[in-house]
Amino acid sequence: MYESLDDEIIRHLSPYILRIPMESFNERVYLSLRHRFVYVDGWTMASELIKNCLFRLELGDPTLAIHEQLYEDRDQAPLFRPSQTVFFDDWMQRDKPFVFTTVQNPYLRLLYIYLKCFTKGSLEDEHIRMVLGEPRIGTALAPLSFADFIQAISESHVAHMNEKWRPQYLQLVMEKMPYQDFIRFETLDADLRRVGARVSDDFSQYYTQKVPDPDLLQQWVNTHYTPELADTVRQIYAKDFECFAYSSDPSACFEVKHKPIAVGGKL
Amino acid sequence: MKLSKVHEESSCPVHADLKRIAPYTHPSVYKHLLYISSQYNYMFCVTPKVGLTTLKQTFRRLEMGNPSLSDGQADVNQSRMSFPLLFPTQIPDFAKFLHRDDIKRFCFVRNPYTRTLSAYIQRIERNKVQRVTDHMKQQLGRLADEDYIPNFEAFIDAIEAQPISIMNEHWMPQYYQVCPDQIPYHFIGRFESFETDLMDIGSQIHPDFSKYYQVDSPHRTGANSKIAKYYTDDLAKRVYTLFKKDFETFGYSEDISRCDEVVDASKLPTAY
Repeated sequence: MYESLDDEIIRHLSPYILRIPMESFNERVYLSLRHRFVYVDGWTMASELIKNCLFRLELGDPTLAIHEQLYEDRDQAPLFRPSQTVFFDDWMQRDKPFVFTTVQNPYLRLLYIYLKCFTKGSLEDEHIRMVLGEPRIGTALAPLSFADFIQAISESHVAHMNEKWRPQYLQLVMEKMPYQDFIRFETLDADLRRVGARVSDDFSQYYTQKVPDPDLLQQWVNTHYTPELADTVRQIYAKDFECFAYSSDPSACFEVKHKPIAVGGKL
Repeated sequence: MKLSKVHEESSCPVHADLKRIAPYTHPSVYKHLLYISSQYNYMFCVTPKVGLTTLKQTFRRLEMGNPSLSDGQADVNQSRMSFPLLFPTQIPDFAKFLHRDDIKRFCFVRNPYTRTLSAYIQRIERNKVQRVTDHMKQQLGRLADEDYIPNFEAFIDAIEAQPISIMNEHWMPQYYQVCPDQIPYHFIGRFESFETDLMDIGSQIHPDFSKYYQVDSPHRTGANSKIAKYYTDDLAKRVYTLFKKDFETFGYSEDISRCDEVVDASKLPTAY
């Protein structure tokens, strides 16, 4: 018998947490008891497509319509948080689920987050600006340029970063999570088919291909990045470039040097 | 940090479905009564005082694939959020899901005479939950009287005056919780034949179901053996009137001396 439910949940999550808040980890992990997998969502442009497939697969309904709200509202997602099992570590050790995640070139990932979060004038925009908390940004309603955004991130400590732009190496807890496969945004179609086949024999009927045009995305990057901004991003996300083998050249966002090989959480 | 804390989501589209299914219970409360398994394709609705803890713990063990999982039982009971079965709010298009042929739907019900007494003994007489007792004392005009514990008759007085929508779920009529007119159940089990019925439905869900079954009854009151001590003829009539919908829907006899009888489901007035 343990002291409290929260204590037990924390005890079972602790082995997987290093330098990010436990809640951040708990909210971004999607677990299936049905298909025995753990998907860690890394805030990439592939996230919505992957979740769309996994949600419908979990409920066994290929025709199920997934509303946009479900991608962000963790309470409505039909996959479990680790805390919902209470005994997460026991389950990981005993059932040895298939563990995978998604990664993306840091240049494009950061630009995507900026365009998604800061150009709509939404409540989310205001909230995230509060999280950024940099006085130099000014009032919440003032326009936030991409350069200001990168500057604010460069001045904040990784431990306090919002999970949307925290380096993937940290957010995905690479040193602890026993990843068995990765879905790169840059090779999304092939990677998702490979991972899907491992998750379920029926995966193909849940897969809907909506892979964005690489040329268009590369053009976004070329338009928004100056050499100075690229240099700053390269410094902030040095570990991501190295760990996931991405080119440091912003004009080569879809170039992958080699595939990461993960055994027991190590690349 | 409260990882097991229940989150509310008033904007959830499924709330409208839940409101239609159970109009007397707020969706944020009702969603806690429905347990859904995507792993083994079943759904059940729980009712307090009807083997709830045994049901939850048995299906927790089944979902986690661990027959020996039992530590922390009391704590685990308190938080639906830390439970490996989905909420209805985690099912997009719940209305469609509710009618899927491949999802086995079931619930358990109990004779209202024994259920009402059990609710009284656990929640009022044993005074386990102060706020529930205080609410009832306030209703009876005795809140200031610290030593006052309503007797069974006063308890019935109080719930007779309560609209269904404010009733505590321990004594709210089962009809309005399991909502058989809205949820197309495949199976309605009985507390009076609990183990047999649970094994029946469980074996349809998993071939090794029996190894996950254990009796967990921390709130056991022994109400079935205390009927004569608490009930008068008048109280029995009043309880019958209060819960007439349950007696009729689920086929229980008005005769209190037959409250342990197992109901023959084939003789029910409805098609459940």
